[in-house]
Amino acid sequence: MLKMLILRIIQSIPVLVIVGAVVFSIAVALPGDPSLIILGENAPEVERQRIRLELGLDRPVLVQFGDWMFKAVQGDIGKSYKTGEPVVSVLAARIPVTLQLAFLSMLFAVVVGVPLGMIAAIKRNSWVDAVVSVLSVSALAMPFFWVGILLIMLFTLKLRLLPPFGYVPFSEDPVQNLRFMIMPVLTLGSAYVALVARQTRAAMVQVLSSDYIRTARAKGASELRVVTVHGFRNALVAIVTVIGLQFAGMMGGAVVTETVFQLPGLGRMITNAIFDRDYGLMQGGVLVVVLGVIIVNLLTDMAYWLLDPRIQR
Amino acid sequence: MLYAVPAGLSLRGWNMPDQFNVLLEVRNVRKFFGVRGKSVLPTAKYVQAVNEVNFSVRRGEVFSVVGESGSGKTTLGQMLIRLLDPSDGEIMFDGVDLMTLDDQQMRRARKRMQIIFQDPYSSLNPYMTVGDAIGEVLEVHGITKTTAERDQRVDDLLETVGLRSATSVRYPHEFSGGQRQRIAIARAIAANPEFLVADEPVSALDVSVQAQILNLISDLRASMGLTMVFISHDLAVVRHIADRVAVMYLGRIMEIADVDEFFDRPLHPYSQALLSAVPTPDIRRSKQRQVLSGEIASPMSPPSGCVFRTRCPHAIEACAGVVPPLELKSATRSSACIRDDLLK
Repeated sequence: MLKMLILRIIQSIPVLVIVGAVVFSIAVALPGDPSLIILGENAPEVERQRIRLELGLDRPVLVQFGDWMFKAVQGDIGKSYKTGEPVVSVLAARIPVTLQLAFLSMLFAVVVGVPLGMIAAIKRNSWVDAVVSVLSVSALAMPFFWVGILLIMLFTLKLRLLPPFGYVPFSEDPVQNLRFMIMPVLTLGSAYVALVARQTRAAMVQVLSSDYIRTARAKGASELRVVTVHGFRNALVAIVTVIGLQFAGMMGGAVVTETVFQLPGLGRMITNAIFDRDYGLMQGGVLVVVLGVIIVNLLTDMAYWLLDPRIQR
Repeated sequence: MLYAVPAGLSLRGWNMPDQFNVLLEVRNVRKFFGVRGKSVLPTAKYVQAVNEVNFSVRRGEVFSVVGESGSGKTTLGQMLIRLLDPSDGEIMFDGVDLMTLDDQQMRRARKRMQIIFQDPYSSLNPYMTVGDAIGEVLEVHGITKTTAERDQRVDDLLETVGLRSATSVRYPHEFSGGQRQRIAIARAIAANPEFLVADEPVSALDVSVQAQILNLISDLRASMGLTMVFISHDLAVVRHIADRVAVMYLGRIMEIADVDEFFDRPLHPYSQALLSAVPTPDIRRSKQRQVLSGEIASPMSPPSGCVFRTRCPHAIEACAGVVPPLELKSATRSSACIRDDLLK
């Protein structure tokens, strides 16, 4: 186990370097000059030249990249071009917001999606199955911003229950924090409820039609036992896969959701950084997201290892 | 001669006297499967997997069901222990119609009836250790109370089927086909059943392993006094293990006979064709080989009258008219054929 874990961590290093290179090249290729962003449209050329020198933008691109990577390895991923703040401290403030959003959305998706998928699989081809299927497709088809706006119309304008947008850290005021989080979580989670439900249904249908389920029935095991101990247990690998894989997609959804609900998370930070040509901040943000995806993939692999005895050793 | 009364008789309103000691009686059982067409309308087509099947199995005997693939023998086998519900008819187990049992009663009854499946690879849960898979039977039926007791019993069972007890902590994928089938047998006998359905238990195994597994089944049958329905397409295997034989074709029983009689002098034209298809080293006999023409007819639209008539060398016009009933042709056997003139 430990050996596999170490191996996987070593394997993720090249991934990080490649992603770093891609992000860096995009930043270079993007039109717009950071010096203009910092100094404003009408800054004199001399001043702009000074800024460029300060940021090291006059050096060859490869040197800039090497320098950035070298520092990144040491934990210094530069400063925000716009505010001069260290990127690390900006990220430290943003990461918890996105983490909370992603975690709660995933929780919502699993808590609602898994039972729905199981019921649909057990009652396959019944009206229950049809309803779950139609709801899933609808939820998947609706864009995040649209769901968000609908929710605001319902919970804020109509029912006057929830604040439309804003954010308070959980540590300051847990109740208010959760009130702010409800709609973003519903927005981001709805699509994943659908994905998880569909994947659960598919996996359960496949498992329930296998021979060893018939064996379990022949043993005299109760239907509940057949469905849970033999059915769900064996479908779990497939369900965990979809949850792990969808984490990367969820980061994309977080960008939109955070924008709609004005959450100060990573997604919105990266969007703003791109608009501001704040390459330093953007690179840091993307790097953190990639790191997150790599970690989740690692966790997914470890979950396989725990769930499927055939993978062991 | 009491011993040899064929099951077909019960059809005609006979009640088997107690001394026959019938454990399982199948009465007019049918199974139709709906076939999904391209139309959105509800099912209009049916596959007649098993049609009007009647027989009974006495305590302690091995009753073998033979037939080509697609003849409905597996479907029949699963209905015998109600892993599938018949569309029609009765399955009387020890005097009780299984169809009248509710879920809980049926689950309890499973302690007394077990099955060995054909495929030892897919019929074991890959995520369960061998010990848990066998132990589940013991737990579900409350046979063992403590884990220690359970583990001890599992080890005993594994030893009974010829595996080392240390295997209980391992997973199915670590075993060969023959070993897996031994595990499946241990699972099947765990609750000490009276009745066992063996659905082609060796046909997925290497020939070299087949004999070992067959001997194991024979030994267990003798030591546990098992009543068995042994489903197979391999006549050599059937001859080795069976007391009586039923031949199925396209969901119907063509002939039921004692095993020796059946192999010596099959009555039904289909039985004759089946037996003559078995390779024989005897040159004189191989000359008489009957080769059936054509394929087994579609169970979605079986021929009218006798289902075998389309391939039968002795078919006459009358065969298309009526479905021949399974009738007593001698004291010890029954056959479903109207051409009694062939018997002479």
